[in-house]
Amino acid sequence: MGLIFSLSLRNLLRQKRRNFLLGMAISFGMMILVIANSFSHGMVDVLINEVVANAFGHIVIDNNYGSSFPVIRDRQKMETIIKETIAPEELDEINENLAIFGRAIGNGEADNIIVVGLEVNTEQKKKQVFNNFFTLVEGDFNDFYSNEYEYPVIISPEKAKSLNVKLHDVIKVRLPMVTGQIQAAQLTVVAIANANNTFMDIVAFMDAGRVKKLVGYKPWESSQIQITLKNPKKNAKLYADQLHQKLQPRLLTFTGNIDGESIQLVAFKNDNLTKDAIKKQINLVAGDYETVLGKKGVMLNRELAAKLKLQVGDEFIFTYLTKFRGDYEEKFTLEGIYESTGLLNKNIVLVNEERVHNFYNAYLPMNVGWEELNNQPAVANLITTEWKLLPRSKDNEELQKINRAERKLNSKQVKFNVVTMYEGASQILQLESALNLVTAGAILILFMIILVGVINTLRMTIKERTREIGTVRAIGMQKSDVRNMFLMETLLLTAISCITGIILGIIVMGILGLITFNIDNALSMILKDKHLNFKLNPVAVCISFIQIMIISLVTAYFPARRAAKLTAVEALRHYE
Amino acid sequence: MKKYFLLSILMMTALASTVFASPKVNDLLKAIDNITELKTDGTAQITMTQQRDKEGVKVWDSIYYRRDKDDSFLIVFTAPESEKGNGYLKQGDNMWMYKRNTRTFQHINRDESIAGTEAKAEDFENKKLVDLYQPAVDKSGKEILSETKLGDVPVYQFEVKSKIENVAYPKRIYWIRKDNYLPLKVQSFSLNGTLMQTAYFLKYTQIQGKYMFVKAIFIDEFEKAKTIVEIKNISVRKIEDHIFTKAYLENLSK
Repeated sequence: MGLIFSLSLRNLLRQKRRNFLLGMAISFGMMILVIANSFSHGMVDVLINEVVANAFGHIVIDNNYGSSFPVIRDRQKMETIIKETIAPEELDEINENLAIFGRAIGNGEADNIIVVGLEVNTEQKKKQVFNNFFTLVEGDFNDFYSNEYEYPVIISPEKAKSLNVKLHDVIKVRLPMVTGQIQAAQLTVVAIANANNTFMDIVAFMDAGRVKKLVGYKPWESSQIQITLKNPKKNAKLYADQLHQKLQPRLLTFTGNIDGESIQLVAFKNDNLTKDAIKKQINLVAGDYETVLGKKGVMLNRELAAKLKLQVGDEFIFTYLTKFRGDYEEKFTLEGIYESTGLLNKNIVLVNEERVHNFYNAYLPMNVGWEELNNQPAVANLITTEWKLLPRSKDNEELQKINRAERKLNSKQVKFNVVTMYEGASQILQLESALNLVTAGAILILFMIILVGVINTLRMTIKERTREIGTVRAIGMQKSDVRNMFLMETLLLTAISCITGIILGIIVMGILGLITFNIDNALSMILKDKHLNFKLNPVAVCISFIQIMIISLVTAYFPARRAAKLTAVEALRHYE
Repeated sequence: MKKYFLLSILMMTALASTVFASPKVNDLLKAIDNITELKTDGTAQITMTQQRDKEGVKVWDSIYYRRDKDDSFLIVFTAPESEKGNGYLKQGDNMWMYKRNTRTFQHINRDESIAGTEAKAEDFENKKLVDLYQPAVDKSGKEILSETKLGDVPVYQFEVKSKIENVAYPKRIYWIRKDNYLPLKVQSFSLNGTLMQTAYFLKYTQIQGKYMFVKAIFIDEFEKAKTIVEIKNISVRKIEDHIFTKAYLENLSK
């Protein structure tokens, strides 16, 4: 084998020019392949890991329906569910997506702005954010936490320019609040810095706690929750499914009192099926069905109404203990009195869910549920849930479809949704597939070059070396050795060319990566720190290398076999 | 006799204090609601002229249909060309934005902007002030209410704060005419007390015994932009049901 290897190498060097040209063609193809593959990987890496993951996390728990702001009322509970579901070694971070769109005025210049809350609670996170995420241009990151300023912010040089502000200048902002009210504030520029992706140029970064306070989140509330995982590709969908399971809502019924009388509030569903079922279970003795089952419907059974001395049209106060805000009083107007049996004849107030959703989320009850419902499916089926858990979607298109359908329902019920970035940003993944197709096209062209080049080279080589084949066969070289010699030549040529192509590709990527692109258009989203981001995927390169080797081997096999089949006499007789 | 005389004096004093005392803020809010609340259908042409530094003057023309009995309204833009045919439709709790170019309806929230102006969808809803605001009180617990003059016009000046959370401006100061309770000036403040908007109601018209402003200036105190709103061709004729439909809005664009 050693002899065949050295013979093949010697033969390759004998035809330097021809082999050099073929090798160059293969090298060039391989270089293009490496660059294209690295570019598509790099671009998707920027879009997914820098833009999407930074902005939305790997898994998002969202409840943004019906209002401009997502408000998760019980952050602690949500965090507990997340920590119970995701293994600690797999969980990187739990963050809030606090991004408030508003209007800003600097020194005589106005512009739109997004105030983003940064949660920088640990030294490690500070290091990560201030050393890796930002590149300081002017100012001091330590002032980000300073109590000297009411609202210290970090802005980009572009935003500073558009608002005509300098370090320590004040920016006036107008922002919407969680409640829909308008808030105004004065932000002080404590640092001007470039974020590592150009999407952030419009943003003013502020400490998350201050942003929450500014726009009216209560200490126990949270915005949309973003979960960052250590191994998102492997675990994001798995954990999203598990979180979805754990977010199953309870029935919306809780205990309170009317004039000291313990009462169970039962929120019935606002759909026609439920309303028909209620009509079958009760006999209305005062009021009309249209009103009592309508969006403001409130009913008591006859015995309870008598005990509380209430008649249709009377107002009464239902008081209950909330989880975060002490006792809460809700004023109801009695719309109907009914007769019934069983559970519906107990101390309950039946209220249309839309009426309950009006106050329920802002004033979460300490305890939700009713033990007596356990063996009462007929009544349990009438009751709505504390929130609606939207189904998991397979891609962005399905997600949008679900969202549109929910908006049309226009219910005040809170909706929860669990989405991974792979569904939320499925279009980006589709983009990667498209780019991979382009890469596949490049491979195909490369194959053609190899196919034509190798066949042609071998044909010429065999023709030129027919007498030589006769000589080596005459002195005892076996058929298989002749064949292997030609195959080895081809493999050596392809391997050397491919490795050269890979090295050239890495050099070209290095050079291209040094170029700074100062662009503000959509193309900037594929840049990392204003540079092209090439991400060499060693596995993909190895696979391509092996594929090319196999193709060249297969291509060379048949001419090599033909050469091997020549008899010594026949070959020696050959004359050109 | 002396006893009866003293009693009469006391009664007269009590009566006088009732008759000549300043009204309560809640009564004034109710009076504004009462004098401006139209219970019929309404159609009008609305022109909004926005003047903003560096952006020049922009004018929006629209037709506004309103029916309070089922909480519906329709706004159709007739100018500028870029907005022509676009519209906003509200039916009960549902509100849609219609884009002529794409012929699509999009569900929107009440707090979303109308055609990129400072006006929000909720501004076109019929809402009573007494349901939204309550009297603001000073440190001694007294309502912030005084009698003063705006120019030459005697007015009540009073401060209110929001009663419910989802009101854009949590604090407002009103200047209303003493003779007929029509608002002449309203200042709106953000939650932290920054003056955000000043509105001047320059001209009213009377329709079926109720008043409706026909010219007003809204000054965006934040950006120092000015929007003049003029309402013309007001009609209180009954509006056909088909007007408040998506199909009507679509047909207008054809």
